[in-house]
Amino acid sequence: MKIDFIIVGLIAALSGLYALYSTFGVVGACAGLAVMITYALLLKIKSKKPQEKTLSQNIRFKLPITIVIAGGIWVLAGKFNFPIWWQIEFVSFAFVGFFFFALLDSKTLKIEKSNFDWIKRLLATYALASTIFIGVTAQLPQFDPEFELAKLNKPPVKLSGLAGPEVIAAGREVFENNKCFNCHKVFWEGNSDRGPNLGTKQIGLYAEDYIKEQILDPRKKQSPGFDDPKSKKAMPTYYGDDIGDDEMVALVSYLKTMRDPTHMPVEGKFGSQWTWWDDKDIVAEGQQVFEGVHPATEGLNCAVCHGKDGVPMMTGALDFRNENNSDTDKIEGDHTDKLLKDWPDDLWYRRVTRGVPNTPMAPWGMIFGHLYLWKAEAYARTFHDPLDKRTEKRPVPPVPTKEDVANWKTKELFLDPLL
Amino acid sequence: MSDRESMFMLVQGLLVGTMFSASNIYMWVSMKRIENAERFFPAMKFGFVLIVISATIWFTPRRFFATMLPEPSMNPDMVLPDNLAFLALMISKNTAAFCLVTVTFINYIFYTIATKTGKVHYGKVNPLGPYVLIFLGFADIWLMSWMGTIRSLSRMNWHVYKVFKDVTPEKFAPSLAESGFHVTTLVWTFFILMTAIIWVGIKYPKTKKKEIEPTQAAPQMAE
Repeated sequence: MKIDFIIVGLIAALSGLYALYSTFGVVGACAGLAVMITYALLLKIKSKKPQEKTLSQNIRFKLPITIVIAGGIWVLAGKFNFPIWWQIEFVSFAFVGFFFFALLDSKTLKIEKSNFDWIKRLLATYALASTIFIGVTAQLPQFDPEFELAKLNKPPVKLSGLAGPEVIAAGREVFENNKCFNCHKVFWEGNSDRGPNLGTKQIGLYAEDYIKEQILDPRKKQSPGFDDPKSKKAMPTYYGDDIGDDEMVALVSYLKTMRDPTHMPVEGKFGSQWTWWDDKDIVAEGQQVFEGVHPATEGLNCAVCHGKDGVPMMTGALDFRNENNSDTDKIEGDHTDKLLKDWPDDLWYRRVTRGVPNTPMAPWGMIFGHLYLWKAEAYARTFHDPLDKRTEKRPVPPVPTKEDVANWKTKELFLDPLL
Repeated sequence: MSDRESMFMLVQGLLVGTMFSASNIYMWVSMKRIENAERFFPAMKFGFVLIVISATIWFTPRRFFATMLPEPSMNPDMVLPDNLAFLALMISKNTAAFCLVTVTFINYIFYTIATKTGKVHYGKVNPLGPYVLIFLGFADIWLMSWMGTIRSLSRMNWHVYKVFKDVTPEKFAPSLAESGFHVTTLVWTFFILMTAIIWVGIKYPKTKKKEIEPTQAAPQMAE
């Protein structure tokens, strides 16, 4: 073999391995290597002239093997928790493989003896292709065009006569009609991770003007973790034209409901997300809130009691430096035995937004925006758990389910008014 | 209507898989008439396994309902769990596409080496070969029509964007079955027209053979 071929082949193989490694890590590179070795070994086999088989021979030899493989795929896919439709899909493809291999080893066709023969075969080829394509498109899940048309023909949202929940419901309709679900999940709803999950990000914590600006001019400020060039261009800029004034008000009202009183906001793309607990920018802003210098929370100064350096300035104020401190026992019916280091997010939120009765710890959630209170909490934690000494990030909480969200409402976890 | 077209993209993936499969089957059939080419067959069969796996990955959707959110009469459980969702993302689809192209390229290299190192029995190809090619052509034209359909269905405005909004009753995306049937009808129409044109071309050739006139001596320049 010529040396230049070897060099070119080697470069191609190494490039392929590197591409797999950079995309899928060690697993990808190992899979690529395994494929290359398999190819190399198979090329070493001294193969005889392939035995052609009749249709019945093919079925007799290959079908049992295919059934065993398909059974294995079914069990394996089930172990990995693939829903049943995907198990059916994988098994179907195993039978496509059977068809391929039967075709590869099939007997050589007889040469056409007359025009009728080739016309017959030609039409059979067209018919086979047509049957496959029509069959597949007919069997895949469909939507109802009538339902679709009715939705398109709905008049635009008008707010006159609507109030409260009706406006929010109208906003939800605007959200759906403008296909926001194509890129954004809302808690458990939707299944695209192209953009941030607006529920776990808690877009409702932000000011109405900010939310509106994000819709009208999405390129102005990217959501953290979505700074790559592809994401920067992902959100369309035409919503200012498409969404009327009433619709925009309704949409923002709907987006304002997206808050979670039990977890810190989550940022980043699916697969590489983090919570505000580990976000240095959030912690830095939280420090400003904590120390009473943030312009958005004028009048709030946690350091007055808890101390700028964490040393409490007032008797009874929680010492954030000691991770083994316990919860207050001054709230009847609301006490946890968990140590400060193990406090769940909702306890932090509850203590700060609702305060502790008969102490200077006021229900700050009735006065200041919760956006900033979450940030102050992220900073307060650093007194006993400094950012630079953390070996790992706090786990991203599971996405709240429909039942969770219903619970927040029935258990009245949201304050009124909700800032 | 882009959110109504996820299943359209799925069919597109299936067609691409079909095209690559047909191309490779054609190469296989062609190699069967080359002496000593059987040394490549085990490796080529492994390539076919990779093709089936890649086509499966390309076909795997995030959800098995035709819209982003389940609508009435749709099963809301037909969604891949988040930890398996990577199979439906572009990164997996690109890897599958890369694999399809690479296997085809490797098979082509085998074919080239086989033709250079073995005797080719011209005219002895399995008659299955030409029909695989015709199938491939049909699948290609079908795919082109399908992509045109997707493009046409995804627009909500006429050609001047934002100026002339489509408000006709046909602005909604038709269902997959309806589109599949129409595209097949169009491809049949195209093939019938092409067959008619070729048949007319063969039956009534444009130029008839002229009798070759004896060459005359070129006139000499006067000195």
